[in-house]
Amino acid sequence: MIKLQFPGVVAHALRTFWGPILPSVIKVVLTHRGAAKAKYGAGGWAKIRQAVTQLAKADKSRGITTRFFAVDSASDATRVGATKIDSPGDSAAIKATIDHIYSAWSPAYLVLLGGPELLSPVTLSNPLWTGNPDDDPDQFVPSDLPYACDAPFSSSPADYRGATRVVGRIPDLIGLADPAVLLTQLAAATVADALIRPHPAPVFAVTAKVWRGSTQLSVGKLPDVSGAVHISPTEGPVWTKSALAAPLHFINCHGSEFDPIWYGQLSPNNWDLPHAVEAARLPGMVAPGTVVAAECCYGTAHWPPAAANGQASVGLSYLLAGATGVFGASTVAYGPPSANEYADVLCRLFLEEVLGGASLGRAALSARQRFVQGQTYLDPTDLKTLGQFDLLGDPSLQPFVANGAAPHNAVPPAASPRRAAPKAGRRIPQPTVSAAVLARRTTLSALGDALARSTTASNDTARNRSGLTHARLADLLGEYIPESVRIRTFDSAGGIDTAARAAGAGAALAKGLRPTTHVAFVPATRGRPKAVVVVREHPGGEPTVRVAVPR
Amino acid sequence: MNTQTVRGTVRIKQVARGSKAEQSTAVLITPERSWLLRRSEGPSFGVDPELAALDGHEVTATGYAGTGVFLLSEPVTDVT
Repeated sequence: MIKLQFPGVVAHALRTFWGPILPSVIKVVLTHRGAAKAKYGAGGWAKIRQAVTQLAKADKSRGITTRFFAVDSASDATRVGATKIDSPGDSAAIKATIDHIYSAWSPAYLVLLGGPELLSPVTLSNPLWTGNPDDDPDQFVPSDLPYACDAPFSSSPADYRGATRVVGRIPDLIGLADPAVLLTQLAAATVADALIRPHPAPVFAVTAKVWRGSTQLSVGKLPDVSGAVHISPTEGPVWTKSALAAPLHFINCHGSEFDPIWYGQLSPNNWDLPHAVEAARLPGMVAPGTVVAAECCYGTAHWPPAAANGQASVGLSYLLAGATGVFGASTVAYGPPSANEYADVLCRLFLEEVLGGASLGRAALSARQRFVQGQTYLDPTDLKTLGQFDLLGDPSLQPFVANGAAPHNAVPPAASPRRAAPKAGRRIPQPTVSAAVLARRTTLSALGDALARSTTASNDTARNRSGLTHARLADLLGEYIPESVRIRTFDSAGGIDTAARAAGAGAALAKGLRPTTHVAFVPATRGRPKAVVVVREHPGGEPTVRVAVPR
Repeated sequence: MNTQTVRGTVRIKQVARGSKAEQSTAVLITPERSWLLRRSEGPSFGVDPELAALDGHEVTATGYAGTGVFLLSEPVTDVT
């Protein structure tokens, strides 16, 4: 792997003397201007546009060239060879425009400005949807993942297994025409600083009591962090400002659509859920620059505050209270009660990358890639997990500078180039980016391409007939499976097929190597709520069983 | 996202049947698709007795149609 890192002084010299011949680190801020004007009025839009200009100025001082792009502008579309878009809900056209932008400019960062009313996410199919909302309630999965992939537009999450792009969304609120929502976030991104990583880095972690084993495992795997895992019940929802001051928040609680509260849980089948985190309590309590990874169902879902008496969701409220980024799920997310799978893994990988000094967007991209790399193949629950987690926040912001030293790519002040490095735990201006960013993008793009080609994934739809009997599932799970439980069997494709072709073998060999997945939603038992059981079978191998519950 | 009005059937799914934690989940089934059904003033999880009382009833429901939840913004009209 080629890794270019220039010391700050060298980077500064490169920019000063050879700047014109160095490629730019480009950030594109994308929105539907017409929809924004219609929502906020000409005056409101003018303020938002001015705030984008201020952000671009701040970015320039950070070494980033920021370009505003209106997807409904014919002249903007012409600049990249695209066609202007009429509807902000036309996600296929938005995806096509973004693909053109990447072909023309290869931006290092892409910002989706606004929520679904300004730029719709892509509506992905949900392989876990059975038609019965008591199994998995989400018929579709709204997702920004397709915008982070080179793959052509489709509604299949399996087509987006190879993410290559750094993407984040600065959202607004559905049905609320107050420009302050965007202005607050844009202003925060404009003045955002970075934290010289303390050793250990404090983490504010909250878990539903029933999942404390899983959460403690996740937090325990984070490198060099401190802080107890708070357990609900009995802790929360009133938190002290000092507890919330931790720069990283890791939340593994229940969430629900149209509900501005995240919940704990005492025992598996006790549904009298205590409040763990309340959106209404966040203003004035969250430290600027906080980064949140939330496993909660619907943690970053876009829904109108009018549905909750005017209160925005917890995820959006975090951003409005000063958080820099929230990584969360648009729909029902899954993880086992005591082990780590699915949402647990993706959220932990995101925080690992943030702690390592990645920008928010690169952390999201690397987490997606590492999540895919970590699986022998992607089962239907993997695919939903991959598609449902998005980053809210400016993807170019770097929350942590690693190693307690001066940022490797920071430009030292001209008057004191040899000034001592700031101490761990101190806040400093956002590091100035360098050509190292472009080198990393090349590597990440190549890795994403390789994952797209080499990763096997389950099909979106199940076979007509199950490939696993109830008796066999009962054997594997060690409990009785009622005949009313529907077992669905998914074949898989990709990856293995490529390998077989490369080996000169035909489709028959590939078929013989493909893994199969059996998925069943099983009823609650005394010690466990209803759960999704995933049986993964490789030809010739012993099946493995994963049991996951909705977060 | 505006509220919308749909017509469908409320079904109550029994979860953890026979256990201490037996509970009901309300589902709204329309010709197009099905949602978990919730009242804005009702619980997000667990039993909502008011909805449980509508098992098998055809209703007209007005509210927010989300990804997985239909959130009632008005009381349902029982048209059975």
